[in-house]
Amino acid sequence: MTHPITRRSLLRTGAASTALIAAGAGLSTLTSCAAGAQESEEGSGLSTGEVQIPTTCNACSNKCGMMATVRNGKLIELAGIKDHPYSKGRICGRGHGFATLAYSSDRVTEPLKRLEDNTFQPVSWEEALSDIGQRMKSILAEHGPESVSFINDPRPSGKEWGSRFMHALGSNNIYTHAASCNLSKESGFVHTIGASNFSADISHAKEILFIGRSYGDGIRPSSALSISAAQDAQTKIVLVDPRLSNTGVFADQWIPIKPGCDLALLLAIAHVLVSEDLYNKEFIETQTSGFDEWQPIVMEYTPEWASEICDVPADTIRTLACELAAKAPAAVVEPSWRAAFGCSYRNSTDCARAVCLVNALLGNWNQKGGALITSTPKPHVDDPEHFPTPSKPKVSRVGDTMYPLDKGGSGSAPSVVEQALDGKAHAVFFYTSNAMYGYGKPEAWEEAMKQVDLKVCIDVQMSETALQCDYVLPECTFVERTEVPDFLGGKKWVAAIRRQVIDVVHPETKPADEIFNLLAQACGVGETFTYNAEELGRAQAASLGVDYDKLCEVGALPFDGSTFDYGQAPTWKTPTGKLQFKSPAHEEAGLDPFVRWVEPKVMPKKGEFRLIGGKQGIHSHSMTTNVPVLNEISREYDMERVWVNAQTARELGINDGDLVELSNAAHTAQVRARVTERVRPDTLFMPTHYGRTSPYMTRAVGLGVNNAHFTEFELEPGVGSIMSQEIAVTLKKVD
Amino acid sequence: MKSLLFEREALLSLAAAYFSRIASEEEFITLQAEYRNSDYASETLSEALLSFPSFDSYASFCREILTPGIPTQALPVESLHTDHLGLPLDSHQVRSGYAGTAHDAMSNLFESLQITLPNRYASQADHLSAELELIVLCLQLTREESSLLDRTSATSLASSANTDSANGRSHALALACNLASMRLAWVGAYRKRLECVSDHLHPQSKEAFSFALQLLLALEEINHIALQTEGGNA
Repeated sequence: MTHPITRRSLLRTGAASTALIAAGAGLSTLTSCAAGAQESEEGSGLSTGEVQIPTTCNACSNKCGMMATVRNGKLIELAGIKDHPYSKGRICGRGHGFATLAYSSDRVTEPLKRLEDNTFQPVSWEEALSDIGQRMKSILAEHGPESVSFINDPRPSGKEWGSRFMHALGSNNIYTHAASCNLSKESGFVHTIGASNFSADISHAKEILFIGRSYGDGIRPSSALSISAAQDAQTKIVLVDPRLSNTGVFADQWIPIKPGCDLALLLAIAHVLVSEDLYNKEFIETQTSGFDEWQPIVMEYTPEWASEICDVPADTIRTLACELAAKAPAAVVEPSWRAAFGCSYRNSTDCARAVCLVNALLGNWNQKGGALITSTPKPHVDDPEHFPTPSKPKVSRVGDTMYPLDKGGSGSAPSVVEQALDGKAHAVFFYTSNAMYGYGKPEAWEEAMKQVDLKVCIDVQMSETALQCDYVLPECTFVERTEVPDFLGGKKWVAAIRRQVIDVVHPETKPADEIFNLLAQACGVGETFTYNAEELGRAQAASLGVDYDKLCEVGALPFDGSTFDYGQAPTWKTPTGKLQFKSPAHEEAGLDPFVRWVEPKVMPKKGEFRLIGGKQGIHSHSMTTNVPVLNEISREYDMERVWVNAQTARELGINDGDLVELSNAAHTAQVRARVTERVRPDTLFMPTHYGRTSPYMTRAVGLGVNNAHFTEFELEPGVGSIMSQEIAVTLKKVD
Repeated sequence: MKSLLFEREALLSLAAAYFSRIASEEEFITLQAEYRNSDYASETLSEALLSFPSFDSYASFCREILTPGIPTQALPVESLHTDHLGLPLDSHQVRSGYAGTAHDAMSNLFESLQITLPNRYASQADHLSAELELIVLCLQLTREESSLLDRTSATSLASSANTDSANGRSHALALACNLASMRLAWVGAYRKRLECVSDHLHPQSKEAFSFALQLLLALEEINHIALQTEGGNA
C-alpha cells in the first residue's frame, strides 16, 4: 500500500508531532478544548488568561477611550475610560458592536487586484506594491504630482502617514470626508471666529439652542452625560429640527423648523437682539469687526419675515431671542456638527457664520455657560535624524482655487470628481474613506473614477469605494493595531492612545503606518519612511511632556498646557484679529462678505417633500452597517425605514410598514415607511447609513436607501460641500 | 469506521487540497493524476468525483468562493458556519465570525501536537483543509507504523486499533476518528451555504463548484458514519 496522494501537506510537522500523536496528546487536547470553552463562558471577572489593554474606539470620529479585556488572545469586553474626555467611563452601542469587525467574515484579508472583468484576484503584497509603484512612477513622470490625490476619513496614523506619503510624492492634494460632514460649518466658523470649532459650555448654561444636532443619536457619551446633567439642572434645552430626534427626551421645547431655513431663524433672533437692544454692546465694540455695516442688513430680517420662510411663529422667535438674551452670557447656540448646516444646503456656511454672530450678540464667548474656544496641543517632533519628514510641497491643493474658503482645512474631496472629469486626476489613494457611497452623488463618482488611471483603497472592508479601485490593500482593524496618540484640546488637555489589543487575526492585513511605508518604498520615495507608529508616537508624546509608557498603561492621560480661562476673551485668529461680522475672505472670493438670507437651492414644490438625513445611535455613516451585530439590530427594529409624518401618511393612504416609493429626476427608490408624528408633514427623514450597493457588504447590501442618489452633483459655492439635503422627492405608496 | 477512513483517505486528502486554494496549475494537475491513480478512488467513489474540473474553472471558483471579502465567498472555516456553542448554523442564519470555539479547539490541538500551520491559516486553524490534513496525517502515521509490522490491509489496520489501545498507531487512528466525528459536523451547513450562492456564480466557476459540492457530500457521509459508529467518543 502506498500513500495515495504525495503532494506536500500544508501542515508542517516534525518528529515531535508524530511522537505526540502517538502518545495520544491530541485526544486529550481535543476533549479538554471543548470543555474549556464552556468553562470560560461561565467565568466572570478578570482571571487567569485575561489582560486589560487600553485603546480608542474607531466606530466614529470621536475615538473614545476604552479599556479592552482580552481572554486567551480574544477580545471579550470593552468599557469606557473615565479620564477620556469623550467617553468619561462609557462607550456607546456602536462602539461595543464595531469592535467585533475584527472577527467578521466580510473582511478583506489579503491584497486584492481588480481584473478586467471587475472581479478581484488575491495577490501578494509584493505583487501589488510592485505594480502600484511602477504605475505611480509613470503617472508622476507624465502628469506630475498634482495629478495625485489622497482622500481619507482621518484616523491618527492614517492621517499622519497618508499626508507624509503625499508630501513625499510632491502633492498637497489631501482631502478628508469633511465635504460630506462638517466642512460648511468649519469654514463658516473659521471666517467668523478664526477657529474651526467651538464648544458649548453645557454644564454651566441656562439655555441651550440646538440646531439640528442630536446628542442622542450622533453619540459622544460625554455629550449625552452632559445634556442629561443639564436637564437635571433645569437648563432650558431647545431643539430646532424638522424631526424630533432622540435628544427629545432631554428637551423642553421642540421647534419643528422647515428644513434648510435655520439661517432665517438665526437672522431673526439676531434682529430681535439688535432691534430690541438686547445684545452685549461692550463685547461687540471691543471684540468684533464689521458690526456697524451688518446692522442695517439684519434689521430687514424681522421675526414676521422669518416666520414666512422657516415656518416658526414670529412670537416663538421673539420669545426665544428674549430668553437667550435674559440668560446671556450663560445661553448659547450650540455649534452643531453635520445635520443642519455641516454640508447640507447652499446656505450652510452662512448658517454657521450666523451661529457665531448670535453668540457674539449674546456676548457669551469664553463665558461660563457660553461658547468656548479652547486650545489644542500640537506635538512637534524635530528630530530629522530619527524622524525624517518629507517637506511640504510649495504647491496649492487642487480644488482650492474653485473652493477658496477652505484654505488649509479639510479640502473638498468631491472636487477630485471635477478634476477627474477634466482629465487632471490620474491617481487617487483612499484611506478608510467610502467616498463613492456618500461624498456626493455616487453615480458622479463612479463616472469620474473611470477616468482615473490608478485607484488604490486601504480599508478593512470591501466598501463601494474599494469596489471601484484597482487595488484594495487590507488594513487590520483598530483593535489589531497601535496608532500614534491623539492629543485632545479643551479646557483640559488629554492624551489618548489606540493600542493593539489582540494579535492580527488575518496575517496578511497590516496597520496604516506599515502600509504607507511600503507604498512609499514602492513609489521610490521611501527614504523618509523609516519608523513606525509606536516610535513616532513616543516622540510626539515626549514633545508635549507626556509619559508615553504611562499613557500606554492607562489609555488617557491629562497633561498640562491648556491656557483656557473663563472670562478671558479668545484670541481671534482671523485676518482682522476680531470676531468678524464681515468676512474679508468672502470678499476676496467674490462672495458676500456679510451674512444674509440665502434660499436653499432646491425648494420642494406642491406634492413634493424635502428629504433630510441624519444619524442613528448605532451607526456611523456607512462604515458600521455591515458589522454583524449592528446590522442585526437594524434589521430587528426596521431602522432603515423612511420617516413619514402621520398626517401626510393618512393623506397618501400609507400605513406604518408599507412599502413606499421616493422619486425625483435623479433617482427612484423604494423603502418601507415609519409613520410618526416626529417629523414635519412636508419632510421625510431617512437615516444616512443604508442603501449599500457593494455586494461585498453581504449583510448590509440591499437594506434601505442612500439619500445621496437623489442629489445632483453640485457643490456649495466657496467651500465645496456636497449639499446633502438639497433634495425634493415625491412620495407614494407602492401597491 | 476505521476501515472507512482508510478507504476514503484519498478523498480526504483530495478535499484538503481542493479547498486550500491551489494556485499552481501544475500542482492541480498532479493532484488530479495522483488521485485518479490512487488505490482507493475507483473502488469507492462516485463517477462525479472522478470527473475533475478544468484548472480555469477551479481558479475562477477559488476567486469567487475561497477568497475572503468577496460577495459570494464561502470560506470552509468551521467558526464561520457554527454558532458560539459550536453547533452548525442553518443556511439562512447570519454567519458567525472568525476565531470561534472551533478555531480555539483546533488551534490548541495543533499547538499541543507541535504542528505549525502556514501563516495564511493563522486565523483559520479550523479551516476544512487543516482539519482534513490532520485526519490524513493520523491515518498516514497509523499506516506507516503498521507497515513496519507488515500489517498492510486497511481491515487489519482498523482491527489493530481496537485491540492495541496502548499502541501509538491506535491513538493516531482514534484521533482521526474523533476528528471525523467532531470536526466535520459543520460540513453539511457549509454545503448548504454554498448552495445559497450557486445562482450568483460566474458560469466558469460552476464546474469546479459542482465538484466541491460532491466532495462535501462525501465528507458529510464520512461524518455521518463517524457519528453513528464513534459517537464522537472513539
